[in-house]
Amino acid sequence: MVEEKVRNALEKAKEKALEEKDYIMEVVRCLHEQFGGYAPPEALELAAQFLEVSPSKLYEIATFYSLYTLRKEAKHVIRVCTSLPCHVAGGREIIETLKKELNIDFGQVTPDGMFKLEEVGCLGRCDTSPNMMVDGTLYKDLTSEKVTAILEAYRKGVIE
Amino acid sequence: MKIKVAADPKSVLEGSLEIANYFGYLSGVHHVQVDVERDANLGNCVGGILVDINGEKYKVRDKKEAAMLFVQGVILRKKVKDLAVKKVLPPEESRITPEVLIVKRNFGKYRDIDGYIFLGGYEALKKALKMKPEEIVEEVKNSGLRGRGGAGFPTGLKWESALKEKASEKFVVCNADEGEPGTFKDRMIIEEDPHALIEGIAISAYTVGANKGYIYIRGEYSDVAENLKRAMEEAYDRGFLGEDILGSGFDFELVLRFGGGSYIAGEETALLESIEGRAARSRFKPPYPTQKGLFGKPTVVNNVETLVKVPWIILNGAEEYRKYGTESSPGTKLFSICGKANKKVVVELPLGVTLREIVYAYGEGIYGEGELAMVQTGGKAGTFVSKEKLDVKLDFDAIKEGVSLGSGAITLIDDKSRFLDIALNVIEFFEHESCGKCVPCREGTFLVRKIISKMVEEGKVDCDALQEIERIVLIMKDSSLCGLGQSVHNPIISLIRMLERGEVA
Amino acid sequence: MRVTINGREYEFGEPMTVLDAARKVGIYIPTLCYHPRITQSGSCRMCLVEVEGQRLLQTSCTTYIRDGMKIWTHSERVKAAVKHNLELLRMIHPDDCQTCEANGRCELQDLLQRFGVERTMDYYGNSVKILDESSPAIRRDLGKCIKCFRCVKACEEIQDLSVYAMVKRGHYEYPATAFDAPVYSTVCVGCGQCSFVCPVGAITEKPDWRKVLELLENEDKVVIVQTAPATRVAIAEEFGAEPGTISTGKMVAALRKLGFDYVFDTNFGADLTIVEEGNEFVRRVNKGGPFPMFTSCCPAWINYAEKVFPWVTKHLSSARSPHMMLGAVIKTYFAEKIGKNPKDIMVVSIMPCTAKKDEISRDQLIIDDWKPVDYVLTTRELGKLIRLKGIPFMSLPEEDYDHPLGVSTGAAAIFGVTGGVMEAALRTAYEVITGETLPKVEFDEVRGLDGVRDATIKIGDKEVKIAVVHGLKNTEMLLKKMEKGEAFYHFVEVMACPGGCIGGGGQPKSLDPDVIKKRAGAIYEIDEMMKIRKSHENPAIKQLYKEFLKEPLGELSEKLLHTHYKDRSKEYANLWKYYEEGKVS
Repeated sequence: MVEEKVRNALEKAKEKALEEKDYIMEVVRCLHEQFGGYAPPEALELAAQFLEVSPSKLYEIATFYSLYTLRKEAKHVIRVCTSLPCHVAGGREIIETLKKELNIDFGQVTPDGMFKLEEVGCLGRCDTSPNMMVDGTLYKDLTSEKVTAILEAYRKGVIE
Repeated sequence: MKIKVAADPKSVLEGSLEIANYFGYLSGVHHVQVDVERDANLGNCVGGILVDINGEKYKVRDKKEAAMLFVQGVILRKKVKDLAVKKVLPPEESRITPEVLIVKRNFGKYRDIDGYIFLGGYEALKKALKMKPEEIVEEVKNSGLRGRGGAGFPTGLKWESALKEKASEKFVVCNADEGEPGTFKDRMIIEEDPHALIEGIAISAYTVGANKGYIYIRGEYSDVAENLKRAMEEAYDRGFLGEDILGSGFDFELVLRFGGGSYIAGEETALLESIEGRAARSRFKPPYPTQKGLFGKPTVVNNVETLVKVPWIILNGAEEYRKYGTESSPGTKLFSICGKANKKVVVELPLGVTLREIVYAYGEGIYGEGELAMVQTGGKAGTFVSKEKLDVKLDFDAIKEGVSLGSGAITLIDDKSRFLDIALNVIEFFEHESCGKCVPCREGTFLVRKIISKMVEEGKVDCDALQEIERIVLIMKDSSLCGLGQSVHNPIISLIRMLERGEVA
Repeated sequence: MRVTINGREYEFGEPMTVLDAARKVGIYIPTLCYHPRITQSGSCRMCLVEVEGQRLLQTSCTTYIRDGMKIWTHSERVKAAVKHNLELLRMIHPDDCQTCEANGRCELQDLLQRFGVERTMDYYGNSVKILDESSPAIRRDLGKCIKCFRCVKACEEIQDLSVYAMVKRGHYEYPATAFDAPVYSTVCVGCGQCSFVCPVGAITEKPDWRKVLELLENEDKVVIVQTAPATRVAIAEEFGAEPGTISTGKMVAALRKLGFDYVFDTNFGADLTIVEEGNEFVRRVNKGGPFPMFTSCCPAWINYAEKVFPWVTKHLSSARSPHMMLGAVIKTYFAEKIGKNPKDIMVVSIMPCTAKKDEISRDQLIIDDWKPVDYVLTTRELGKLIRLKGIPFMSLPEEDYDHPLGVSTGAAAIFGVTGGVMEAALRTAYEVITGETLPKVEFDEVRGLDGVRDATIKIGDKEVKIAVVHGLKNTEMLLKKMEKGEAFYHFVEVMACPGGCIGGGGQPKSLDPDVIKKRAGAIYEIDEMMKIRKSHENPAIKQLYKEFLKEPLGELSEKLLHTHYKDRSKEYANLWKYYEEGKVS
C-alpha cells in the first residue's frame, strides 16, 4: 500500500526529470498528493531508498518547507495569510475570527481533528486580500462573516 | 442623487479618487442611493478636493470632512457652509503617467497558442533563432533591461557572462517563486500571458547556449501553474520547445518545478539548492550562478517579468524600449498595488513614475475610513515610505532616497495600523523565513522578534530597545550571507524613523 | 598579485582565499564554520573583512584575492560585526563549559574570550535539547550546537553517508538524523569525523575517560594500556606542539604516571595482524581466492561494509584489528606470564578513533566470557586525562614500552597512515611467497594521500593487483566500480578516515590544512628509524608463536585473533518508526 503510493509518486516525479537528481523536491510533493496532504515518514524513508539518497535528506526537505508535513494532523489545513497586505486590509480581524471560532492558535489542531490552523507568509493573491487557503482551495476577499460561513460549510461536510 | 468629484490630474494626485471611493463607501454604510461621478472637467480648488453636490461646490480636505459633507449635504440635503468653495480653478492638463503595455500587451487577449500566434507570438523566437547569441546579448544590453525580481542586475550582462562560460552543459531557470509579500505580478503574467514567458525563456536559453531549463514556481501557485503547464504542452506540440526548435537545430527542454513554501527559495542560489533537492538555503557568491550554478554548471536565473520583456525587445528593438523609463532604469515595471488600497491591481508604468501617481491615480487611495499613513514599497523587504515622500520617483536609484523599488509591490497602509503591530508583523515574517544558514540573520531575526514581542506584551515602545534593534539589523545587513538578512533593516529602520517623526504611533 | 592588507602591501604568487593569504602573512582572522577538511559554507560570519569597493563585509574564507585588492581585517566595523555575531551565538549557547567535553578545545569558547563577549543578551538556548547517547562511539548534545554545518558537511563530503541533515529553518534548525532516530540506529559507522570537526561540544566521542580514571584509582585490577600507531604522532598537539611531533617516549612516560601497570604497544598487535593477515592472503593466493581480500583493521570500515555493502563481508580478512589481537594476547599469553587470569586484567586502548569504542562492544569479539579490550580512549581523551592529572607532558623524559608486548617494527608503525597496512602486508607477503629478501622495503606506489591509489605489484612470478582507499566516499566509488566489473583487485586496503588513522575522528582537533601530511610524515619517519621494518622479523612475535600460538592461522590463532562478520544492511532501516508524533512540525 505505502510502497505502491511511493512508487507512483516516484514515477510521476521522474516523468519530468532532466537530470539525475533534479526531481527530489518533486518526489516529496507527489508524496503529498498520493497520501492526501502529507508525506508519512515511512514513505519518505522508502522514497529515499529508491532514490538512493540518505533519508535524512528527505527529512530535511519535509521539515524545511512550510507546505510539507510528515503528519496528517487534521482533516483540513487552513493556511491564513498573515502578511502585511492582508494584515492591513482586514486580515487582523480574519485571524482573530479564525482563532476564536476554532479556539486554537497557529500550529494547533482543533480537538475534533477537523482543522489545523497555519500562518503563511503570502499567498500571492494580494489583489483579493484578505485571503486564506483551505487544503488547496483559495478563499478571497474575506470578511469575518464569510470565514464563519466557510468553517460551517466544512464542518457540515458541505465542502469536503 | 449625484456627487461629482474632481478628477483632473491635480485633484487625482491629491487623492480625489480616494474621496470618490469614500463617498461610495459611505453610501453603502448609510444605505443611501448615490451616484458618484468622477469629473475631469469639474475643475479644482486650492488645499482640498473639489466636490459638487447638486451644483453646490465644496472643498474637502480629508475623510472627516467628506463624511460630514455626506451626512449634511447628501443625507440631510443641507447646504454645508463651512465647506463651501468660493473660487473654482479650471481643470489641469494631463500630467499623470499613462500605462505602457509591454508586459501586459497580451493580457486578456488570448486563450490558447493559436490566439497567441495570431497576436504575433513566437515571432521573436523565430527572429532570435536567426540571430547570433552575441547579437541578442548586445540587443538586451542596449535595452538596459534590469532584473525585475528585486535586485535589478542588468540582464544583458548576466547573459553575456553565462554565454562566455565554456561548459558541457548550461541551464536557464525562470524564477516564478514570487514570494515577496504584496507581489502578484508574476502570477498575473502566468495567468494572462504564459506563452510570452515560454518564448522569453526559450530565447534566453538559445542565447546563453542552454539546452535545459526549469520554471520554478511557488507551491502556493499550483492552480495557476495548470495554465502554464497547458501552455508548455502547446508549445511542445507546435515545436517551440523540444528538439530542433523551428528547424534551427536548437534543442531546449523546459520543465516545471514547484516550491514547497519558502520565501528564501526566491533568492536565486537558494532556488538552485531547492531544484537540486535540498532545503532552500542560499549559497555564498561568488561564484555566481552564471559561473557555477545548477549542478555546478553555468546557469542563468531570471524573473518572470524580466523574461516576458525579452520577446518584445527582440521584436521592437532596444531603442524602442529605452523610450520608456529613465536613463539608468529604462523601460517599464509592473507594480502590484495592494494592502488597504481601493484598487488592488497590477499596473505597468515606466520607471521614474512617482509613488504618488501609483498610490492616488492607480490605487485610488485608502479604502474605507482610514487615511493613508504610509506605503511599503518593494515587498516585505522593502521600505516604509511616509506620505510626505510620495513624490519620490520610483526607479532603481530611489533606494538612494531610502525608497526601495524591489519587486514592485506597493502596499498601502492606513492610520489604523500601529507601529508595534506592523513591526511585529514584519519581523515575524523574517524570523519564520530565515533559512538558518548564517548567524546574523538566523539568530538576529529571532532576537529582534523577541524584543518586539516583549514590547507588544508590555504595550509600549521602549526607545533603548529600538536602538538595540537598529544595531542588530544594521550588523545583519553588513554581515549576512544573502539578500534576506541584508534587507531586514529596510523595513525596520524606515519604520522606526517614521515613529520618531511621529508619522506612526 | 599585489594585495594590501591593513595598509601593508603583500605579494602573492598563486590564487588563494583572503583567509589563507592573511594567515600566510601572519594575520589572524577568526573562524568558526571554516574547516580545511570540508568545503566552506560561509555561514558563521566570523571571518569577515572589509574589502575596498565592496558595499558589505565579505567572508574571507570564500573570497579570493585579486590583484590590487585592499583589505581590512580588523577595522572597527569588522570587529563590531564579529563581536555581535558572537553575542548572538552566546545567546543560544549554554554556559556549562566547566563540565563540557570540549572545554579547552572549544572554538567558540576561544572566540568569546578573544573578543571579550559578555553575556549581554538573555540566554534563550537552542530550540532542541536532544541528548543522544545511543552510540558507543559518539555523543550528541544538541543543546550546545551552534549550527555551523560542519558535521552535516563532513558526513556528506568525506563519507557520503549524510547521517545528518539540517532540518527545519532559521533559529529552529538543528542537525538531525533521519526522523530524529538515535544515531546508532542509522547508517552511522562511528568514524567520528563529525566529532572531529565539531567546533564546540555538541558532538564528541562518547566519553569513557572518567571510567578509566576510576579504574586507575581502584587497586584490585591489573590495568594495562596499549597505544595505537597514530596516537604517538598526534598526542603532543594536545599540548601545543606542531602536528607531526613524534612523542612516543613522552606518551609512554605519561601513561606510567597516570598509573597504568604496563604500557604496551598496539604496534605489536599490528605486526601480529600482518603475520596473520599476510598468511591469510598468501593462503588465498595459493588457493586462488576468494578475491578481493579487504583489510579489516578499521572498525568504521567494517561497520560500513556490514551496513552498506554486505557482499564485502565475505571478502574481509578474518583478522581482528591490532588492538583486539593485542588485548587477547595480553589476557592470555601475558596473563600467564604474570600469573593472572584474564578477568584480573583490564585493557585500555588509546586510539585515534571513535569507532574502536563501538568495535569493543561487538559480541563476536568476546573470547570465552571476557572482552579482549575493556575501554577505548581517544587521543583527545588521553590528552584530557594527562592535563587533568597535572602531568607536564612536554617536559617528561622519554621512556620505553614494557616488554615483550612493546616490541614492534617499522611495518607496524605505518599502520597509522593510509596505505600503511598494504605496504606492511606486502613486505611480509613478498618474503613469505618468494622466500627472498625484499630488494627495497618501501612501496612508493601505495604511499601518498590521493583518495584511491592502485598498482600492480610483482611478487615472484605473480602479479598482484592492489588498491588503497581512504574516506568512505572514495570507498563507495571504488566498490561501485568493482560491482560493475570495471575494476578488479586481489587486495584492497580501506581506511574510513581521511589519511587513515592519523586523520581519525578521535585525534586532536586541528585547523591546520596540512595536519594529515605532517602526521603522515612523522609516521614514515618512525618507520625509517626502526631497526626492523618487517613484521615477520619481529623477535617478540617469533617468540609468541614459538611459546604460545604455534603457527599463523593455527587453532589458537583462529580463536584469539580472528573473527567473522554479518550482514547488517537491514538493521538500519525503519528509522521512520523513531519519528515521534508531535516532535517536529
